[in-house]
Amino acid sequence: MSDQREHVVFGGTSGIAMAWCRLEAEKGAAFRLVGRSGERLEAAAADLLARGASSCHTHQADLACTEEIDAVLETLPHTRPSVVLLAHGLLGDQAEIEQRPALALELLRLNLDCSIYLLLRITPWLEEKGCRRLVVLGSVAGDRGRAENSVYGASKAGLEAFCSGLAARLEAGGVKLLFVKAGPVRTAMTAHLDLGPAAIESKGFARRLQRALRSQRVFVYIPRRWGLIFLVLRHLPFRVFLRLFPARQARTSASDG
Amino acid sequence: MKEQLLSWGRWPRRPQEGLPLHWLPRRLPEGPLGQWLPRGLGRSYGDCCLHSDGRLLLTASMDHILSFERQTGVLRAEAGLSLDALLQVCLPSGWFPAVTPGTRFVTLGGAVANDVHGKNHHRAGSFGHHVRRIGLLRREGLLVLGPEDALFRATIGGLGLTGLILWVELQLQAVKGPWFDAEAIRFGSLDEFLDREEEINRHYAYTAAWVDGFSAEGRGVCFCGNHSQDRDAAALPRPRMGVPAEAPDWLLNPLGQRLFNELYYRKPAGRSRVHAFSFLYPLDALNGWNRLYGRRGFQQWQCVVPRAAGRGVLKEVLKRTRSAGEASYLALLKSFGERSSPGMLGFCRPGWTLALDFPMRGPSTSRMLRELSGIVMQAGGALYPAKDAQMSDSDFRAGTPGLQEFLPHRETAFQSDFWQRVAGDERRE
Repeated sequence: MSDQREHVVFGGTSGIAMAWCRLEAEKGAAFRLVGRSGERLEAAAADLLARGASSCHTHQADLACTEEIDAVLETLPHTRPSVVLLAHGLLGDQAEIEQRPALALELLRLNLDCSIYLLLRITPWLEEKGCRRLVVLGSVAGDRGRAENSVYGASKAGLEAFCSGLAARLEAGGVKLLFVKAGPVRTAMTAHLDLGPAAIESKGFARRLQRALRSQRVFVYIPRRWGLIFLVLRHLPFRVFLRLFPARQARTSASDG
Repeated sequence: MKEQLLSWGRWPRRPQEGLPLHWLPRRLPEGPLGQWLPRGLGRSYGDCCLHSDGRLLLTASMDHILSFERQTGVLRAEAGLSLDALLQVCLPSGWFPAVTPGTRFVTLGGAVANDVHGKNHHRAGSFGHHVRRIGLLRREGLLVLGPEDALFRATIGGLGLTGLILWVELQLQAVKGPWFDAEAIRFGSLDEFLDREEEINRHYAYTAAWVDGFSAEGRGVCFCGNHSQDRDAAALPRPRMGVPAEAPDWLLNPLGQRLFNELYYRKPAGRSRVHAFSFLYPLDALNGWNRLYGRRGFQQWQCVVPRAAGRGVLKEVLKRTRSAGEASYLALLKSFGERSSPGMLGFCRPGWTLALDFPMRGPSTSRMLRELSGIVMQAGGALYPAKDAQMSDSDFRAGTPGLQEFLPHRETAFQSDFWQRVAGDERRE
């Protein structure tokens, strides 16, 4: 095993993670990608190697399952991490979730429960080995819940609250955290949505993430304009907020799909 | 989800529906016959990247590199990879696409499906000459094809109608660096240029001439260049600017066009060392330049005519546009080399090729294009599907000798507006 520090990416085949990894690969970085689909991990690894990555290992794991998280972490103790990125997550379809509330548990399990579990599990490792930065991907949806994505928003809000505390704990151990509140980004996860003109491409997001990694800030909005927008939105009286983001008509099961 | 997916000429404007692909699919999506059409970055000017009655398979996010051998310059990548992204990877290690069109914002799949050509056609042929393998997804499954396969030759220049190209394996050309030794040669008349062109082509691997559509003599400037043997790199090309909105229609008047052409002709001639991007992709520096033509869009028109008849036809075409008062901003003239397209529907063949663009002014523009096409077809020429939104079915048939050979290779799940227009009934033997 070489001495080079490696980027460890959970959700390594997600659109945002991939875009950032490609930029890092051009600089000759080394990678460990963790993801659910072995086939996609392989494609991602080949792509990064072709773009100049010095190495790329892949680990197949379902990050909604604590046993599989444990199994992946078993393989990591000797890895010296550079950036550790948590980029996995489910967006979920709110209408579908309202039809079948059990889906909410599935989403929360991956986005919140198991992410917190994962973060708790890697904290000692990060403190022992040190790392350039621990990056957790959140969302502006966590800033104020809207009817159309309240479950997703809740998962990201919970993650943010946890990371606020984690940042304090890690700071004491010499590890810096970066919690990214992402605005809408065009990726595979959002391809079916009409994101509007404010959405950015994953490549642009990745460039901004690189910039944020050079700064010392702990909580950032990407793109930054969302910080200002949500500063206002968070403080709007509920009635005004409701006018801006009215709930859509409840769908009946007959018209669903 | 109807979105604003237009062709590069922004005419015709018909609502399009798209399905983005992010990972290589194992099977074609379900649907009735003729439901789908693959689409990359939508840089085709006419309607061969449109499918109003069906849905577009958007491939631009399907862009992983599968392998890149830096010793041999063989690169295999998913079809949605753009030449821009490819250059970012291969240029630092001394490799360059063997053929590149005038924009680097095309996908590999699109470059194959239109068998695009570049300023170096007289040396290198067209894009398809440098494709080693293709992964093609059809109803029956994934097929890996090479130049020995008939289906491969149907797919090169096959306008995306033979199946979904999943990946492309290319042979790149070795270069020393990103620089070009370029020269701009001014000529006072079309004859002067045509007389000198052969000699210029012997010196330069990349050549193309701009012709002032307003000048009766056909004056212009020939832009030529070779990959520089020097490595040293200093300045990078200028950052890209964007055109934020469609230009107002009043900007596109004959006076403005005349002024533009006068200034273009007066640009200093001579030798210089320039970056590949400035030399090959001058318009890429201006994001969305097609919006300069206003809301009504514009028409590209490109023909090829056999060398023997060429001189007269070129003069006739330019004269016709002048007398119609529709002279083109960017009339580009170049000679194709002896290597015809390897594709059954391929456009490139030995002769002269002339590309014109016109603001779309409605029926008068269409009428003029029909007349121009008449002149070309009579001389045994052909029109370029990637730059066409108006060609008649008879012109397509006359200019496409490989059509009958191509028809059995079509994937029936696919269809396009272009194909419906020029081969709607698909007479089979």
